[in-house]
Amino acid sequence: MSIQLSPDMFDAISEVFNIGVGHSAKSLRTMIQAPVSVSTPVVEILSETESRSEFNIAPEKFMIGTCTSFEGGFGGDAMLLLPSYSAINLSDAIVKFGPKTATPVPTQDIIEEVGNVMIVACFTKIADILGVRLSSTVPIYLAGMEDIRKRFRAQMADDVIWFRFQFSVNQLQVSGYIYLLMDPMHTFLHAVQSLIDKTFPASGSRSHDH
Amino acid sequence: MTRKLLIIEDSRLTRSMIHQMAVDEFPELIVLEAPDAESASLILAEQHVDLVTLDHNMPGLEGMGFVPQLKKLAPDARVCMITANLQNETVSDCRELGICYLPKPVEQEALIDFLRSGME
Repeated sequence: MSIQLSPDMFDAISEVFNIGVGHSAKSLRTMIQAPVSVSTPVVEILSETESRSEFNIAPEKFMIGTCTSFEGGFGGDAMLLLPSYSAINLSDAIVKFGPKTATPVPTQDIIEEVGNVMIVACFTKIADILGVRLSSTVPIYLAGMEDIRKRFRAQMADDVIWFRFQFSVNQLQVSGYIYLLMDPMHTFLHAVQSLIDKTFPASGSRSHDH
Repeated sequence: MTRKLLIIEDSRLTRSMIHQMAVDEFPELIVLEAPDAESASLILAEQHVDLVTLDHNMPGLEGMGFVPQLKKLAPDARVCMITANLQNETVSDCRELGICYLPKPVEQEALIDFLRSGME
């Protein structure tokens, strides 16, 4: 790891993500009309090698998901990953408990929109807190681990800030993960540093060291 | 008088949900659907619509970028941006463009309020 986050920086990043996660969970709750639990977000700076190794320990063997890219005040990629059984349960729950649809909607379309809504809700809130503007791409559907690994590898040319959290809906037997890769990392760190400087103008906090 | 709603939205799920919410409340409403701005332009060139819901993050032209063209094609239509990407700047842009906005996932009551405003 080439960068050490100062306590102030780590605290700010954790809090910003925490709020983003809350909005993500709230969005899903609205879609399925059931309580959504989220794990404490994990924030790490990992090298390319470490990221690949970390990703290889994803607990479920077969997962599907969606990926969305962001650019603007900071950039990166975000993925929603679901074990296949969770994707089916989630899709069924939305059909059963969510607003009715005029026509039947395939599982893939449902998962794409869940990913879009959850990820964008999280990023949008983070962007608002940091006072920057972001635009996002249309979500890409990832059908299986090979798709997911390819997508991750394409993004990991350098050190990345890796952020992840797990969410679950116990009553529906749904669990999944959201992974955010901030790349390039320095633009995100600068945005957070600006927030710290605005919040604590006299602290002269030195938030990261190369 | 029968009103027409055009839903411009790339997600089949959200499109279909908005459609159903709309006709549940206003069964007489004619609902048209377009998955992107280009398809919407073709519809608007041929048909008069009273209400438009517009996604922001779509393939091709983004929703916000489509608003000027939309206003030319349907100058009297009431337009509502429905997006998960409701950043402060997006809200400001909507206000400047004189259109409404709702967050995704869309809630039925809020959608009905918008539709009702265009049915009067």
